[in-house]
Amino acid sequence: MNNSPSVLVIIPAYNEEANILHTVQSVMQFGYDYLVVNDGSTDKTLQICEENHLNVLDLPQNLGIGGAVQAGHKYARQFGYDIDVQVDGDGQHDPNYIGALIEKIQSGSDIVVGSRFLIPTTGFQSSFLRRIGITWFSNVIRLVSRRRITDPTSGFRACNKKAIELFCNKYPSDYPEPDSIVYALAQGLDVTEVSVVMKERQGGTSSISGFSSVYYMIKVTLAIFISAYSK
Amino acid sequence: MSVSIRIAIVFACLLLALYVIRLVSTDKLQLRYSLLWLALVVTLLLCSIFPVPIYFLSSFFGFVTSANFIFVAGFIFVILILLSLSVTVSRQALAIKNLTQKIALLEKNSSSS
Repeated sequence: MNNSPSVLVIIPAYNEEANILHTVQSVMQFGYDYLVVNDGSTDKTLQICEENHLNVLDLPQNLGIGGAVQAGHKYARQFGYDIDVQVDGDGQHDPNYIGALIEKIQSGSDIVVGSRFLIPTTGFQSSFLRRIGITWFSNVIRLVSRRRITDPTSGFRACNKKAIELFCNKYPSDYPEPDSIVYALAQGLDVTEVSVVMKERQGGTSSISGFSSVYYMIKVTLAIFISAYSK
Repeated sequence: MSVSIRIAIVFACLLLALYVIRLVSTDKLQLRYSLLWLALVVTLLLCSIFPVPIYFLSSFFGFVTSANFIFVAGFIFVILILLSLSVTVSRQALAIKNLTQKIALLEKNSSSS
């Protein structure tokens, strides 16, 4: 089993008609099993998936990124995958690094996060304001769980069976990335990072911008504290 | 507290109680969600029918008039009701999320087999 764990790449997609096909094709190049989770898209995402016979799980309602990713974890659990890897549907995450995430899982981590900041790289580093936000979350996480997570908002991550089981039972619904790391750490799981290079999103817009970013900062900070101190 | 305001409160409470009971009897409101409303009505009714303890309590807490005390008591109930509704909404959101995921997985299984 150690030689060849079964791996499922989960690709949550909400209105990603511009990117989804390219993202899936680049994952398929590496020969991984994949699952597109169509999160109630209102554009042609589902149609594109069906026309190209992609493996797609179609949520009848929009659940938000947390509910979509959790649906992917449930699928992975149902089919007994050893590892699942979340790769966002917008093309920011380079499938070249999936192998590195999996290797790190095999060397004993429960969750591995692909980080843009672990080792300084030349790739997409996000905007200045966002980096301030990321640094803030990183420091809050270090404060509550004494672990150094350099890129807590990264959605590029791998989970082993233990983490899949944990996230099937409970996963934050919106803005889940930093919160889920703290939750996993509080439940005794081992979360580590590997360095990755990210691309700028190929199309579509980020879910976080403008005034909602203030809301995002407050909400996620509160969520981190609650997750850290609840059992 | 003047007699007229006490009568007004009693009258309003009776109307509310009748309306809540009617909603329950016509299946528009579940009994479990009516209980906090009925508790609110009973409390306000008791306060306005037997005002003497209220006079004591409101002067103890420093309310200018005991009618204010009754309004604050009612307000606290309303806050509790709102909070319980938020809990209910959250519980239902979780249930809907789980059901949505389950439907998607079942549909997936049945279409691929």
